[in-house]
Order: sequence, then C-alpha cells, then structure tokens
Amino acid sequence: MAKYTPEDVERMVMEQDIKFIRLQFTDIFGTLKNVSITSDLLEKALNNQCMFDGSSIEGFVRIEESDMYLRPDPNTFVVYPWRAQSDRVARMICDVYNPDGTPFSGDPRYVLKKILKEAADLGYTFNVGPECEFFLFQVDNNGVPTTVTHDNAGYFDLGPVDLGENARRDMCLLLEEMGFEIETSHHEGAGGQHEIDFKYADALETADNIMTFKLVVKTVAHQHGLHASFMPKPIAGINGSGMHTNQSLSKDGENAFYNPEDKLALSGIAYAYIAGVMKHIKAMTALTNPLVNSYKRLIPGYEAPVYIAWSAKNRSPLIRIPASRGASTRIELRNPDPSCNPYLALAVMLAAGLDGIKNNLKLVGSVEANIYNMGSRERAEHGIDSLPRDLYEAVWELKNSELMRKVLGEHIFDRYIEAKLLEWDDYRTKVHKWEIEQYLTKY
Amino acid sequence: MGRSEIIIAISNVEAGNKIKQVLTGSGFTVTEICTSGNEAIRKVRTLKPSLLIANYELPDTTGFEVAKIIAGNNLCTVLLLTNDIQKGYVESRARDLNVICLNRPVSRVVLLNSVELLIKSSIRIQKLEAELNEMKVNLDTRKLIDKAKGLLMQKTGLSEQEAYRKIQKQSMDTGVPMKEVSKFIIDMME
Repeated sequence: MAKYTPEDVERMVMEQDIKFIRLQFTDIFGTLKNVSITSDLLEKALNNQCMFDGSSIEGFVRIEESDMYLRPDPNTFVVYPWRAQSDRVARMICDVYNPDGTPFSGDPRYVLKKILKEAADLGYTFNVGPECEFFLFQVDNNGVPTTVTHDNAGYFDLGPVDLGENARRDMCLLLEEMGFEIETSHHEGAGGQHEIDFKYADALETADNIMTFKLVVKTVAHQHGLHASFMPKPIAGINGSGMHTNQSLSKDGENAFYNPEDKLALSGIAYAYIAGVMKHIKAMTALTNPLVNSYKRLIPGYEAPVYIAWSAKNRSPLIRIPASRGASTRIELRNPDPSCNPYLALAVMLAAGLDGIKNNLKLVGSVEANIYNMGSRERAEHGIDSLPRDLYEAVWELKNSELMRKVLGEHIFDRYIEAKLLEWDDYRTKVHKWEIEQYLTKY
Repeated sequence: MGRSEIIIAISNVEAGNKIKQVLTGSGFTVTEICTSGNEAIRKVRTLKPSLLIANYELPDTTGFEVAKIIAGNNLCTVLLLTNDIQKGYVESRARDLNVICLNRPVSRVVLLNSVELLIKSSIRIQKLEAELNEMKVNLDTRKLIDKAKGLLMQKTGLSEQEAYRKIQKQSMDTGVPMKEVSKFIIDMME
C-alpha cells in the first residue's frame, strides 16, 4: 500500500485535475458501496466530516440510527485508470464511524482490523495471497449477461478465446497501473474462466485489494462487451470459481510457519493454526462461501474441497500445503469462493487460526489418500468430516459458534444470520427448473 | 486490420443495410453490422476496423457509452448518428475523445464525405502515432547509450568517442543491440 498524507491527496487531486472522488466502503455482504463527492468537498472528507445515511445500506442499521461518518484512509487513494471517461475519478477506502466517534460495529473493515490487532498483540502479522477465479460471459443484445462464453451469433477472425484473453491482459495492465503486483494470470480450466493471482500482502491491504480487483475486473469486462462474474458455480458440470486463499503468519519479520527442523518444515505454530481452522471451518463457511450457489461448487469431481482434511501432497484438499518453504511457507485454504466479503472471510480465517494457536490445538494427521474414493464408513473411521452441504447447514453451524459471534460482533453476527436465513428461505420456497423438468410430466 | 474497414452498430437492420450500401458503393468495406452496443464493442476489439458508425440509440446501451469505451481506449474513430440534443450532449462531454456526431437524417453526400475525411485522418494519425512511438523508442535508446557512455568515461577515463566505440564494438562482437549493452554497463557500474 502507498503511504500518503491528507496533504499528499489534496495535492494529487489538484495536480491531476480530478473532478470526483469516491468514498468507498463495503457492506456486510461484500458489496462495494460509494459516496461520491466533488473535489471541492475533499477537505471536508479528509477531516472525517462526510456523512451518509446508514439506513440505506442493507444490514447496516435501522432508520433511527442513521447517521454514519466516513473516515477515508489516504493510503488507499488511487486514480481510476479507465480510459473511457470524460472526467478523472479517484477513490479512497473508508472506515465507517458512529456520530460519537466510535468505530461502527457493523463495518466489516473494522471487524478485520480488530482481529488483526489481536494478532499484532501476540506479535503476529497476517499475510494473505488470494487466487481469484472468475468467468467472462457474453452479454446479449439487450445488455443482459448470459452464461455463454463463446459467440453463437457470429464468428470472430481471431478466436472467441482471444477476446477473453485481451480483456484479462487489460485487467492486469490496469491493476498494475493501480499499484497491484500481479503474480500470475491465466486462463482457467473451464471455458471462459480466468484466474488472476496477486502478491502476498498483509490482510487488510489484501482485503482492500480484493474489493478493488473485483471492481476492475467487472469494469474492464464491461469495456470489452463482456460480463465478469464471481458467482461460484454459474454452470453445472464444469469447474466453479474459487478463491484459494494462501495465508501465513509472520513474527519479527520472519515467517512463523517455517521450521526447517520439522519433517514437513512446518512449525508448531503452523500446525496449531491449521488445527484451529479445521476446528472452526464449518462455522466459517457461512462467511467464506456465503451464497446458496456456493455449495453447488463444493461437490466432488471439480477440484473443489468437500471434506475437512489437510494434505501436503494432494491437489484438492480443504487445506493444502504448497511446496515452498522459508519465507514463502504458507497454507492454502481452498474452500472460499470470490463471492465472499473479503474482510469477514479473512477475519474468520485468522480468528480460527489464532484460536488454534492460543489453545495449542493438536492437529490430526494429514490425509494423503484420495478421500473421494473412500466410502462414508471409511471416512468416519479416519475421522474425516465434511463441509456443510448447503447454506442452511452453514448458517446453522455459524449460529452455534461462540468464536464467530465474538469475532464478527453481535451486530454483524445477528444481521448476517438473519439475512442468510431469508436468502435460504427465498430459495427454498421457489420452484426451480429442475423440479419442473423432473416432475411435471411424470406426476 | 483493414485501412478502410468500417463496422456499423444500429438496431434497425434495414437502416444498417442502407448505410452499408452507400458505403460499399464508394469503395469502403463494411465488415459487420451489429445490432447492439456490446456486440459492437466485442467486434471492434477483435476485428479492429478504422471506423465505427453507431446510432445513438441502441437496445442495450447508448452509442455514446460505446463511443466512450471505443474512442477512450483508442481502438478506432467513432461516428455517432444523433439528433440535435444528443449531439449537444456528446460534444459537451467528449471534447477530448475521437468522437464525431452527425445529425439524422444523414444525406448520402454528407455521410460519404464525413467517412472519407475520418478514415483519411485516422490513417494519418495512426502513421503519426507510429512515428512518434518510434521516436520515443529511439530517444530512450539514446538516453541509455548516453548514460552508459557517461559512466564509462567517468569510471575508465575514456574519451566520449572511445566510450561510444567501445559500446558499439561490444554490440557488434556479441550481436547484442547497443541498447542492451548499455543497460548491462549501467547495471554493472552503478
């Protein structure tokens, strides 16, 4: 992240003739929200005087508690590099505060900051490197996204794949212009699916980056006549989109997961962290896999995890240990999907890991065999449990988790569960195409 | 990539064909008639025409939004078919963009003259841009060579001519471009 003072921001806005500034924050469901101001209100914004009506944001507050203040973080100042605009627009990511000057307990960024402070008090920094997958779909003639990844209506001189490749290349160029360090970018397994990985950074910066990343991807796709979707499983029968999350702790500048003496070169801290994550994972999935559709991805046969196990050798477990050691020692949590709220997802991962460390939890053995080939009895014998099978199960687990309640805080905990149960109920009570296809003629 | 290739974006296929007829009758190539903005964006990006003629009204977006994306990303010139109000709006908001408006109904003569002028200009601009880019590259190379020369002169006491000869000789002997040799010298000596 850059290091800017408020004066730096004022100077840059003037020098670059920026007309509008977006004061950005994220709601509890991970949707990016903005309050736009013109540049003459910049000073007011930097003095933390810009307000908005919290009741307009789902999950924030009821009408009576409406006034909320935005406190921009000058370090997150960035000018949008889109070429297709008449005026220059910049943004700053903000924390949300109550009128009395206390941080708003429903602000997901605050939730992450709180748990990061807890880690910092123990001497740890939490580093995260996400691998975001997404689909690029054609938009039909009415502007509605389809799930078609190649053009049916005509032909291209260059293959349809090239349009997606060009879009992805432009995404990387713009992300780099905005200060991202792109590790890799490539076409993923499923047709129309892409992946962009960016460099490890501390969790707050990474969560901010994930939000920015999604915005850039969607904007660039739009500028290519395509629609980018972070939906976890838009098409049944092909791979879904995950957000594998590489994570590690460091202490005093050294990677705390690394121990060259150990047979896997992992430290006791690492093992305890993994144990913590495995203990709480079922409750965590409501945050890391927040949609009804998320659970359509967590099924066998598509490289997504289903069972709760860790492995250094298998490619598709819940927790994988990538081969690098030394400073790049890390674990890869493979169940999260990119529809999650990154602040809440990273917060619960860290909280679970810290719980493992604080309570010195003992980690079960790794599972190197192919779990998908085991029957349920064998899995039970090995003590291998499964991830929740649907959103309802995940929310039920969340409800019963003291740790999650503590990390998320009562405000988010209650509202999130309430909203997710409504979402589930809406899904549950609709009649789906599958039911019509299966039952209409037969009965 | 054709120098006089045109893509049309208009939802009314009949109108699109009429425009196509006028243009092809004068020797221009109309590669595609698109019926939506998003289709136009995709086709322009893959077929790389010299010109996009788009109607302001499109079923999924406005021709102006399409123009902002196409012209903003310097993909090709955009000619928008507008009414008076739309023209005023576009011209007030897109001063720096390569977007021209023609008010409907557009006569055959006006259309052909405009297209001819736009394509000629765009060819000229592309040529100028290519020259400019080449000059930039040459300038960068020259700066690198000068820097390497300077370092050689400073660290090894060679004269300017001798330093230049040294870089040139190294380049000829190893088959590596002088730019790369200079970069190497700079890395080594700084």
